[in-house]
Amino acid sequence: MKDLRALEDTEVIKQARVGNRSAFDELVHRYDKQVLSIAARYVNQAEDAKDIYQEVFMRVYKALPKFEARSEFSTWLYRITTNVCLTHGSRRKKHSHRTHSHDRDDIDKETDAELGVSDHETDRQTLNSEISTRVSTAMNVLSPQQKMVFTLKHYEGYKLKEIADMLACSEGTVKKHLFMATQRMRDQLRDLYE
Amino acid sequence: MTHEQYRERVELKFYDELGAAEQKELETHLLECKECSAFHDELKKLHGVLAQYKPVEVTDRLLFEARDQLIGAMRGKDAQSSLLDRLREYVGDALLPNYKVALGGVMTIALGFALGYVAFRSGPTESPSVSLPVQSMNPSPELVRGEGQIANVRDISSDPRSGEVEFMFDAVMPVHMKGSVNDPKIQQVLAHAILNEQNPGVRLRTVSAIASERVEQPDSDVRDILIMAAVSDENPGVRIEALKALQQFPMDEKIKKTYLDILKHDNNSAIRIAAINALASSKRGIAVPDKEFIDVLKQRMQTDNNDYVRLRAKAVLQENKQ
Repeated sequence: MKDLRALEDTEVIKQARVGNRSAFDELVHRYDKQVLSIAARYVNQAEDAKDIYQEVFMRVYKALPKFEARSEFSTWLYRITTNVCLTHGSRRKKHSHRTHSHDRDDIDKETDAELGVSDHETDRQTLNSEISTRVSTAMNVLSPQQKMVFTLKHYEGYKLKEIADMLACSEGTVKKHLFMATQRMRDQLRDLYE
Repeated sequence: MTHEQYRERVELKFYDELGAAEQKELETHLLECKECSAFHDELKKLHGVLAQYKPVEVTDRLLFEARDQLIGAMRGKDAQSSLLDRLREYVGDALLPNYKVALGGVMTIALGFALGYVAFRSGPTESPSVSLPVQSMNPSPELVRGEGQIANVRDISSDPRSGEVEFMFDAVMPVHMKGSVNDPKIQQVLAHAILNEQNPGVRLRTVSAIASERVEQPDSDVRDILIMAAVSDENPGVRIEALKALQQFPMDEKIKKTYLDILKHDNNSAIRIAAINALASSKRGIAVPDKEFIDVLKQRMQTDNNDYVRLRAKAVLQENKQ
């Protein structure tokens, strides 16, 4: 892993393409924070964001041997990320790795009780202001494409050209989605600033 | 240009997507056009509202959890692929065109016999378990294998040419392992348990085992897994034990950052106390307290909702000033 860290993307990708799992892990570590960030901002839900993250890298792992480097790896990866986001429903999939059964909850409680650790604070939720809730609701009214463009532009700060590459469409289409998204956000949030 | 086009430029201006000439042209227009100027002001207010919205933040813990979930999924995928490859390889060899129908019949009969045997055979054991031969293992660490369990017998097929039967099953074999916590093989298994064991009691005992022994040969992989457990394990008991275990390792930047992250982000005050105590007890490893160290402690001293954390933060800060 130490050697892999020193390598350029192209070399790491080359090794990952032929099935080197360590190289794949290295790629994940180089780019996964951004993938998770896009997912988290898009769905605004940590559990769903983790599901999207998993789905993205499973797809990347499967498709990597076919990656022909016609575009930057990051562009290809973020294109997969936006595709997974756009097709992601609101359903909460059961985790394949860590399941949360009633039994497990009971064991957790017992273990906590044994240790005398209070868990009150772990239940503490971040307070959502009215504005935050309203913005979130307004964003959910946007079409998936509008929401994606708006998220990438407004909260992730990507340039229009980069968003167009990610979504495999023209810059004009991205602008159209952005203008429409802004219009709809204005319509829904006007009473907050007038 | 139409007003509509100027308004689009207003939007692009807020996203820093205008060239210098376009921006200048827009500013001139805004001075002359009240409608577009009002639109500009409205959009400014909208951006003010949008700035107050805080979407889900990608914390180190969330990233750890996502990675952990991915590792589990990849492992499952590997196991599945391996079985499918073997099945595909076998089917490719066995299903020659002339034998397809005959083999189909033979396989059905063989499957019937096998199921009948499993369902109705008499014997002292109720479950379909058999003893597996004990294999000699490397004496250090000592390994003694117990009996294995066979389950999920499937894909039974027979080859009339050779008279052989082939099938698949899941074998679960208990393995008794004994050795020093400094043994890399032992560390590897313990690390696997911390990452993958679903029972928090087992994770807790595993981390405790590391915490209770003096680690003579610090392994960076084990350290990283303990860091992951300290930051992201959902069970507070495991997180505290992982913090204790980390104190067995020489202080380095990664461990220091972990203590500070926990101090900043963990909602459980008991764990924040453990983190600040760990920082205080290992401060000799921090050559010069850096800005982040001081900032986090100052912030805790001023804002933590736990009295003890505030007092400890103040004390540690004072110690470091001296």
